[in-house]
Amino acid sequence: MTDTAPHGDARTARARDLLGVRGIPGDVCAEGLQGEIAALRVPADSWKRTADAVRDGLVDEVKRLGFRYVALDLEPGG
Amino acid sequence: MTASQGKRERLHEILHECGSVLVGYSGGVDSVFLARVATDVLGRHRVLAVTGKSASVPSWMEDTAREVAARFGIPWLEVPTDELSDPRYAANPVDRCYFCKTELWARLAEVARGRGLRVVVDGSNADDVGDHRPGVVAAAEHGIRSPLLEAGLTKDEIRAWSRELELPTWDQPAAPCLASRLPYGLAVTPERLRQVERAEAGLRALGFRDFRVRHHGAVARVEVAAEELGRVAPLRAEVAGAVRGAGFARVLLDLQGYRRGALNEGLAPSRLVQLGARR
Repeated sequence: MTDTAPHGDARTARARDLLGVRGIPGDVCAEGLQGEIAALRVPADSWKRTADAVRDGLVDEVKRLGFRYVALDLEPGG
Repeated sequence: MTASQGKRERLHEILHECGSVLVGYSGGVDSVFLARVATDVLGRHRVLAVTGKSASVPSWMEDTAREVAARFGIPWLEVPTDELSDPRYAANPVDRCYFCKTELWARLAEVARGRGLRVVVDGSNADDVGDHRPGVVAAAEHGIRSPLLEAGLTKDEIRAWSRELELPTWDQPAAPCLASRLPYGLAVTPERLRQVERAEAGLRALGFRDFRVRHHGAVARVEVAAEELGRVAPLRAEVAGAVRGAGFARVLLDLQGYRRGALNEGLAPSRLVQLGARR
């Protein structure tokens, strides 16, 4: 599924903002059977920066928006 | 005597108390170790290692079970189990493992009776205490003993002793059944189990050792151990290809990496069943 969970749009928009303030380009979609996964669609050349953000607490911040899991889309352009 | 030596002696005592044992033998670190020690202590005629064969057990585990038994002279038998035909199991509730283990222990207890083996034992160990394990209720209902747990042996101690015994499983990653990759409520079907097994075989072929492919319908969420996460970026096309090849439309890499019991995250404590608990 993509963004059809309750409050999916609000959650993904706020998650996108969390990437933006760290200078990471990309998008966020709610995936999984109940929209429980925040899927970060980040260009591969920004993965290093994303890994740094993970160490800086990004996962916990995104989970607080109502996601159970935070994951990186391995084929962001696919 | 060190604490570890004391535990080893205690394990021998427990096995002597049992007299003869049928070992629930999955091919994992603990049950392989237990079957080997039991064979050494009691002799081949008082031990039978039995593997339950079903779609929820990855075929590489079955291969390991067979190969180790042959190499170390452990009497071994494979018995089909049919937990998937139990709708209570297939619905994948939080206590799914209870129904699987009920089927397994009933089959193994029947074999033990037929062969005159006095006690059925499993490979639970001291580090399993505290995990969500509904299967322990089924074990208690069938009178299953856990010699490694009773002796207080931890996973690290079992691995160290396994290495001394030259068991190839000494450093094998933990390998729970394939159904553990499906979130509770997503029905367990042979097709979904095959998808997970195929995807994980693909990642294993790429050299990954400690990981899980979690099934979220059309989406696969891959958890890789922290020390292996750095290998994913250079292999991302291969990883995605291997998992998509198993029938997933989208492949996601979990940013927290592999952790035990990730699908139990978010469950209310009252829904968890821990080793030592009873219904």
